[in-house]
Amino acid sequence: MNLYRENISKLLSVNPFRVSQAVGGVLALQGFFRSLPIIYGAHGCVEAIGQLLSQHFREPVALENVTIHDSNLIFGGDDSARDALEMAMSRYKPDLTVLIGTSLTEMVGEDLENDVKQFIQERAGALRKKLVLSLHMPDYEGSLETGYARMTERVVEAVIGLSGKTARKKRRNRINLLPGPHLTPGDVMELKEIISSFGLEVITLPDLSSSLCGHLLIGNTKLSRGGVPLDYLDKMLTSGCTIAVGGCMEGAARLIEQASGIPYRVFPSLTGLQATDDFFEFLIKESRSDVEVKYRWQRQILLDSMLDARCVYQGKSIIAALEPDHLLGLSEWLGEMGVKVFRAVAPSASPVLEHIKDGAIIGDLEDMERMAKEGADLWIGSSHGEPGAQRAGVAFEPMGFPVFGRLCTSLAVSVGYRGTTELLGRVGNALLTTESGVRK
Amino acid sequence: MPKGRNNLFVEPDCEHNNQEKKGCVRPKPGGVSRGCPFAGSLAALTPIADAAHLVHGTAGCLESGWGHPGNRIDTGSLSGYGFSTQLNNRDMTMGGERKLLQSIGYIAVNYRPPAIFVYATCVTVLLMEDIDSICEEAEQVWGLPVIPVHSPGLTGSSGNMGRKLAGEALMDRVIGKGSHKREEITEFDINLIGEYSGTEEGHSIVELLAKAGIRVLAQITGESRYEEVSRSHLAKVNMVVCSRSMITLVRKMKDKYAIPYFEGSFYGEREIRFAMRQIGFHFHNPDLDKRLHRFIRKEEERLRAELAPARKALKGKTAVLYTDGVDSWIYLTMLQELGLKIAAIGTNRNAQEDLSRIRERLTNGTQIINDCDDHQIVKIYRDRKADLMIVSGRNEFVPLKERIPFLNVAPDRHVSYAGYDGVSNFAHDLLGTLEQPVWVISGKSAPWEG
Repeated sequence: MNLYRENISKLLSVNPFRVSQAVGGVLALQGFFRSLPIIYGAHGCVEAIGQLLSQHFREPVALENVTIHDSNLIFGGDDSARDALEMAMSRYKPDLTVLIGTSLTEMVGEDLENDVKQFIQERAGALRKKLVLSLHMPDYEGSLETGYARMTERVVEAVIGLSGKTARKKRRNRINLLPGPHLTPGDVMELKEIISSFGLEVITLPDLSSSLCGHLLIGNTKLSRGGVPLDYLDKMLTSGCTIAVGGCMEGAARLIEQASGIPYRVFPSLTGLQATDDFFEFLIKESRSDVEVKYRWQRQILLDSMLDARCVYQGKSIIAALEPDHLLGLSEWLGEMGVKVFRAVAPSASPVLEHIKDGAIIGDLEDMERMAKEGADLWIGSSHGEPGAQRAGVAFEPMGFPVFGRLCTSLAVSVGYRGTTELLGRVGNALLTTESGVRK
Repeated sequence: MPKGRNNLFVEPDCEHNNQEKKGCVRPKPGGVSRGCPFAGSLAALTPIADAAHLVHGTAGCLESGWGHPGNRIDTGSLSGYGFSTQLNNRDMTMGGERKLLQSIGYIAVNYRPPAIFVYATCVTVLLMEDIDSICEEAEQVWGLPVIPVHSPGLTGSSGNMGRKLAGEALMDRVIGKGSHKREEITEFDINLIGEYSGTEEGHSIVELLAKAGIRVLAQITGESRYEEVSRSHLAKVNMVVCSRSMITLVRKMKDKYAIPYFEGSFYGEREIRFAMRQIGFHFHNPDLDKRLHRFIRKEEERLRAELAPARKALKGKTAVLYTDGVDSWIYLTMLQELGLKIAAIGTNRNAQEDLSRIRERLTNGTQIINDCDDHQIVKIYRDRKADLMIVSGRNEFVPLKERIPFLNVAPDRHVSYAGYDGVSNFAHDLLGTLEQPVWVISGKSAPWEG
C-alpha cells in the first residue's frame, strides 16, 4: 500500500532540497536549439537559477531577465516585458523565446500571455518561423520535475499549434524520445544511440545531450548551445511512436497522441536489467530488426557484474532524496539488486510515488537525516545532503540535482545495460568503502 | 530620494554623497544582471554560524543561499543548515504568519540556537506580513533573540544593498547586546568588517594578524559566533576589509561606541603594509608600532626570496580582467607587484567607490570598460594580444568557451589569496594557469581537419 503523504506536523522545511519549477523550465529550454528563457522576476530569481544550473553542469546557461522594479509591481510591468522581448529579439535573434513568470509576477497578476500576444502582433512579419511563448512557473508549487515537464508540454503544444492538426502520413521508422529531467545528458546520448542502432530515426525533445554535455563547437554565445532545432520539431507529428522516459513526461506524449494519433509508451525509468529488457523488446517490435551484437555483450557483462555485486548489495539499507521519477527508477533497480530496505524522500507529490515498494514520504533533508541515524548504509541524493550524511556518519553518493564539486556528473550514464553496469559500480563501490571503513 | 533625510542612500561617509541625485532610473532589461538584496543579506549573515537563519518565502529563495561549496564553515552547530517556511499555494491565500511563528518555535525547541534571524522575501512583502511583531512575539515565548531582516529582492538590484540592510539589523539588534567579559578582552582587539572571499581568506587574515600580536574580536561577517558579534562593540578599532557595503555599520559604531575605523585590504604587499600601519596608528602604541614594523620587514624579505622565480617568469605578461564588485580592484596591486601588465578591465557590477579604487591603482594604458559585455572583452583580449584573463563569478565561461587561458578568482578555490602567503598562492596559480598544457592542446586541430 502506498505510504506517501505530506508531513503535516512540521510546518517549516529544514534543509530543503526542493528545486523551484523555474529551474526545471530553464533546463528544458536548454534542450532546444537557439532558445532563450526570459525570467520575469526579481534579480535574485534569475541569478539563483543561472548559478545553480551552471554549477551543476559546469556549462553556461542561456538565460535573460526582465528587470523588475517596485513600480512594476504597482503600475504593472507590460512595458518592461516588452522591452525585454525587444532586446532579446534584436540582440540575439533566438528561435524560441519563453517569458517565464515567477511567484512574484503571479501574485501581482501580471498578464504574460497578453504581453506576448501584443508583442507578436506588433511584429507580425519578423517573427515567422520563430516561437515566442509565455509560461507561469511560480515556485510555491511543484518542483524541478514538474517545471521541466510543463515547459516541454508548452513547447510541444506550440509546435502542434504551428503545424495544425491535419493527419499526415506517418513514418514508421521515426521515434519521438521524451527524456525526463532525471536523465543526464550522457543518459540521453546513450538512449539515442540505442534507438538508432535499430535503424530508427530519433527526435529527442528536449535534447540535453548535445547542449549541456560540454563542447566547444560554437564558442561563447548567449543562446542555448545545442538541442533539437525548431524546424525539425514538427516532424515529430509524423513519427511512428513516442517513448516517454519518466512519468512526468506522459503529459507531452499525450499531447502528441491527441494531435496526430501517435501511440506512446511510458517507461518509468531505463535503469536495471528488467527495465532495459522491456525497452529492447519494444524497440525490436517497433523496428522489426535485430539487436546489435554490442548490446548482447553489454547484457552479458551486466549479468556478470550483478553476480559479482550480489553480496555487496545483499541485505543493505539505502535511503534516497530525489525527484519522484528518479526515486521510482532507483527503487526498481535496487530491488533487483537484493537491497533489503529502500526508503525514499521526495520534494513534492507525484502519482509515481505510489509505485515505490516501501513507500515514500514528501519531506526534507531533516527527514533524511533522521532516517540515516536510524540506520542506513548509503545516502543517495543531491549535494545539499552531503553535510547531513556526514553528520549522520553515513556514506554518500551524489545523484540528482544539483551536484557540486564533482567532475563529469552530466556525462555519467545509468540507463541501458552499460549504464546500469556503471551505476552498479558507482553505488557498489560506495557501499564497499563503508564496509571496509567499519572493519578498520 | 529626499535630500538630507537620513536614509540608506545617504551615507555621510561616502564620496558619492555630495553628487547630484539622478533620481529613479528605470532599469534596463536583460544583459547585465545584478544581485539580489535578499541574497546579499543572507550571504552577509549566514557566516554567523551557530545562529539559525530562517527564510520566510517560497522554495526558490533559499536555493541560492545554502549548501554551496566554499561556504562550509566549521564553527557552530547550525552552519550548513537551511531553514525555510517554504510557503505553498495555500499560504499564498491564507497568509504565512502563523506558519512563521510555529517555524520559529520548531527551531527554538529542536535546535536551541543562540539567536534566529528571520528573512523577509518578495512574497512576504507582497502578502503584507507583519514580520516584526511575529519576531517580537516569538522572542517573548521562547526567550531568545529573533531578529527580522528586511531586504526583499524587489527593493533593489544589488547584493550590496542587502549587505547594508543586514548591517542595519546587526546594529539595531545584535551589536552591543553581548555581556562584558573582562578576562576575554585583550589590549589589541579589532573587528574585521566587510566582505572578503569566504572562510579561507578569513582564516588567513586572522592568522596573519595573530602573528603580529593583534587579536580579531569579531568578523562582521566572516565565520563567527553570534556571541562574538554581539560583543564586537568592545573592540578598539574597526577595519573595513575590501568592501564598503557595511560602511554605514562602522560609521554608526563610531558614533555610538567611539570606535575609529579605517579601510584597507590584505591583497598584495603594499596593501598589507598600509593596513598594518593603519592598525598601529589607531592604537597609539609605540611598542606595537615597532613590532609591526619588524614583522612587516621580516615577512616582506621572506616573500621576496620566495617569489623571485615566479616574478621572473611572470614579468611582462599581460592580463585582462573581467570581474565583478571588489574582485575588480583587490587583485590589481598583486598583479602589478608580480610584474604583470593590465591591458583592460571589464566591469559590470561596480559601485562608484569600486571604480575610484580601480583608478587609484592603475597606471596608464589600461582601458576600463564599464557595463562590459562578453563580446567586447574577448575582442579587446585578442586586440591587445594578452596572455591570460582573470575572471570572477559567472564570467568564467566566456574565456573557457573561447579557449583563452584564465584564472577564476571566485571563492570556490581552496587556497587564500589574502596575506603574505596569499601573494605567493596567487603567483603560483597565475603561473600554473599559464603553464597548463591544455591551452596549447586545445588549439590543435583534429586529425580530420588536416
